[in-house]
Amino acid sequence: MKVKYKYIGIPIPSLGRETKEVALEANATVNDLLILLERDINGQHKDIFKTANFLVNNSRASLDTPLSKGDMIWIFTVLGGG
Amino acid sequence: MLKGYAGKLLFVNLSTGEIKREDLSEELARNFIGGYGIGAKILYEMMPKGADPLGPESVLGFLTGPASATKALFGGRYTMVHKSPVTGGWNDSNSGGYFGPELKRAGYDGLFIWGIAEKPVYLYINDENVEIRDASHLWGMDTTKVWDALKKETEEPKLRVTAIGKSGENMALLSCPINDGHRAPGRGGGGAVMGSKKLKAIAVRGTREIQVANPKRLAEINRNIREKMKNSPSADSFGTYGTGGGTAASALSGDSPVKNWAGVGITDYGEENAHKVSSQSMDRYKTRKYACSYCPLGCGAVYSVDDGRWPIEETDRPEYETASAFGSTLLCNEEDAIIKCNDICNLYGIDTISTGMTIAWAMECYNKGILSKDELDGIDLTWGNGDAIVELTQKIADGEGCGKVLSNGSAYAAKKWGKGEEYLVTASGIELPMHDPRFAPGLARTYQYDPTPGRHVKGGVGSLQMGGSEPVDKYIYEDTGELDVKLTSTREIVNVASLCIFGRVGMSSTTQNEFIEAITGMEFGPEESFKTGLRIFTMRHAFNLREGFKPSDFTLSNRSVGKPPLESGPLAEVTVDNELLARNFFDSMGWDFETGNPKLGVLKDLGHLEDVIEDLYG
Repeated sequence: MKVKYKYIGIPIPSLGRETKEVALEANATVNDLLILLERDINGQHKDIFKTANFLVNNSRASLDTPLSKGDMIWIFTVLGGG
Repeated sequence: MLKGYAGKLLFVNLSTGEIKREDLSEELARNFIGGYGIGAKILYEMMPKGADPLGPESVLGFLTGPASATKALFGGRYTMVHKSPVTGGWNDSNSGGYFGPELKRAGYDGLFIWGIAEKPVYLYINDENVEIRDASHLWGMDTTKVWDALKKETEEPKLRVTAIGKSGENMALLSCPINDGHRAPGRGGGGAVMGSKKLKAIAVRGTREIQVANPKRLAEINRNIREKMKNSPSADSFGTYGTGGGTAASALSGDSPVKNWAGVGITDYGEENAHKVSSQSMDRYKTRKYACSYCPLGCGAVYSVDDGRWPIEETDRPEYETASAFGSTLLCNEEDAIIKCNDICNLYGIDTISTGMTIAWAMECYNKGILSKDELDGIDLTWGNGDAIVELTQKIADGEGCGKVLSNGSAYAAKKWGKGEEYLVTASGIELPMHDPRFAPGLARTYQYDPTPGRHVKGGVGSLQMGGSEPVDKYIYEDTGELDVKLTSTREIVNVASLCIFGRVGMSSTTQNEFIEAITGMEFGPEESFKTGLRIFTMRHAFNLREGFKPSDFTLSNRSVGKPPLESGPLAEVTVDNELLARNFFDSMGWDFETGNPKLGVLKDLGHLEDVIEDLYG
């Protein structure tokens, strides 16, 4: 199934901030999307995702949130404390 | 005496003109470290219960810490301490730049000022030469002009200055001093305290070297920090964009307040606006970056705005707190207005957080028909109106018209005008900063019950939930006490050591202890650090207890904790159980939740709190 995602936060050049589309297995979760993205960024910034926050279709989500075809996932990394 | 300290405290009575120096006792340094640790201990001794924060008995302290002026990375902070004219309780607020290290190089770990001068004065400190000088010619000047004037007058081009602007002279409760032209211990009304003493500025030149116990170890710790930063995208982001690099993510994720805390970022403010007011976008005005003393990050930047409605030859990049307070909180997407408001706040010496939040309160009241256009001097304060926001900020800075009332903050204005109380978003009367407890629930406990209420730079589980090093389940409220206490203590030590909290991009959870050991020569392992952090926290708390505060006197606006909850967006249906968070914390501290009193055994175990024990238990 195809879902869309967008990354906003601590700059990761390969992710950009444009909306991108990606194919995932059926019954995939937010965590499965992250695993895919971590491959794309060669693990260089993997730790950033440890503290990320997520929205799926504008609602709060977690790593375990199941995804459906056509979902829009936002991935945020917040610097915090400034 | 321990290494790493200047070894002296300076005391100045502006009523009598008396200036005296006292040795910093090793006992005080060991047990309260520096910053607001030493500050709380001394103000507890010097200030009588019930002293008017704007009266002669009010003591104003400026303190450095062991890391300051030692080449320890991130050690450029200083702390201002006093009783707050906003909350009526303990207040500390810290600032970066170069003023703190300069004070320490002049020979002083701390400076305490009380009394009231007969006419405007400034304090001139040049190593051992300390003078109270006439400042009549500086009264009315903005904070950067004062700095320039004093450099010329003293013929000291390297002079460091912290000064109030017109707002502090007016004793407005939003006012603060500004040091190095752009850095501010902004929160809690310190500018009003300086203004009440007719103290326009403190000018410092220091030339001494601070000796450290173990320079090799200090260099090794610094190397470790730099090495860790090499692989840190967070460090890259802070160094390039400053804290404002996180504005868009915070606005859209729910971290930032939106529309006076009643809106939803992703729908009410939107992605385009969130990006527009972030540093990544506004940095088209950037001419250079700058760093505080011994900071390897350099999160500051200078802007030159040569277009739009408010061209400014040179000003400072708004930090995240400012961009959010004047941006998403007001639904404003006009970056030139945000930069202009930041500039006004710096020149007139006012806190950007409380100013933005006070305007947000007025804006909601105006848009709900509670405040009329006439009451706002004809300003059309519709959501997002940049012209109106700048005009009102200027009125607040000048203290003119409706700005005279609003310059004292939203809680003061609601009381004065007798309306709009339900739209306040405050903790014990001070406006909340730009991190939402519905996003990081632990902040509710910190905002409400830290002895200095309403601060995002104080410790607790909220700091972890905002974006710490490990993922945490944020919305579980049981059993938070132990971790909350541990993280609170850790942050106390970072703060009193004069370290910047953004040092975390290269520091571990124990680097502050390693710094203190290398600098001072004393053993300062995790257990000693933990105990010392809690002792300092308790000392600040004891100041409030002596003023008569009980836990029930510390308030937090319902809206900030989701009472009622938002209906949509990332924070939908979140209601923070702040009472449970607080009870967990009090239990773990060994404090009574009804009286606020620490148990006698807890105080004895922490040690060096005999004065507090005497007051509480006789």
